[in-house]
Amino acid sequence: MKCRGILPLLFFGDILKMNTPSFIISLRNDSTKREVKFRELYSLRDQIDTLTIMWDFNSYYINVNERYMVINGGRQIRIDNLSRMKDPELYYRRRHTSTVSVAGGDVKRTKVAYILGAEGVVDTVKKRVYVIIESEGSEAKLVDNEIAR
Amino acid sequence: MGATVVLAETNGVSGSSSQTLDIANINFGSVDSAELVPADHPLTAGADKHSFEKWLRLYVSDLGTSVQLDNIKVWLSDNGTGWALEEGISTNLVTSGYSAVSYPSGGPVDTDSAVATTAIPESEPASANVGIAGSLSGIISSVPAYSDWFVLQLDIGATTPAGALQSKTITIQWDEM
Repeated sequence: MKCRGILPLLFFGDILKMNTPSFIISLRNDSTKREVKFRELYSLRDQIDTLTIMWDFNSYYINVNERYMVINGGRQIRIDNLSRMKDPELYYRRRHTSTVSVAGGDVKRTKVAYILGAEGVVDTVKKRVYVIIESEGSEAKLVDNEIAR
Repeated sequence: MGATVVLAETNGVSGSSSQTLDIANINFGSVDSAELVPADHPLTAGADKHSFEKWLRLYVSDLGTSVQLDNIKVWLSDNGTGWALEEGISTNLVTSGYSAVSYPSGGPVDTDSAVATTAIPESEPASANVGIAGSLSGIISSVPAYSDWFVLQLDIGATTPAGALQSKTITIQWDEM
């Protein structure tokens, strides 16, 4: 007797996008830490030599000591103000942007981005160089000449 | 999880003022009230006329996974189809020469604000324009906490046309680490 059956159709949903990025750091003592939590970055910030942010299939890397960045495994990006920076320090933030309406519908939107870069003295001015990384695969925006307070 | 941050508005005379947390809008009108319906409290056109001031600040109740919050920026990010005749929004938002303001004893006014004297920025400022603890480079590292006050006032004139003004969007941005 033949057995008939209907093979169950397997539906594979879209690979879930990551709502939060993951962080990989290397420290000046040559150790590497993965799955670092955002909060942990603060206490380690003075020891961090490289920081990789991986979010929604994109990766962003900075080597603070060597003064260069890499986006999505591509070539090194040499940014003038970063290359010339004296005593560069890691500059990272989680940036929240919220909108509120004026005389319109009560619609509020909040989005989150991550900042990855460095700050230090360029010529005689303290400056920041960083990329703004938003989710949903959007291209990171480079800020290469911000004056730091 | 990031910090829990909401926009708060304060109304009324100091000492009996009321605060509304997490306001749904910044609607200007002819009364000192949060989340008002503009059509119910219209402004009368005329030379040098103004809405009641909006006294606003950010309220941080929880830092979540962050250690500190700083670099607060506020700007008008969407002005619809543009300003009506003689329409504008004045503010105390500045990126230099900053001095924190205190909530007025008599409450917000609908005369020409002595505090909101600068046109609201219409693009993202290069640096913080809302202070924390009296400084644009201040930080919030313990909660609950407030940012400094930022004040907005809608200005109109004799030629401002009657009817609803264009809806607009104000963006508020801050950084956490």
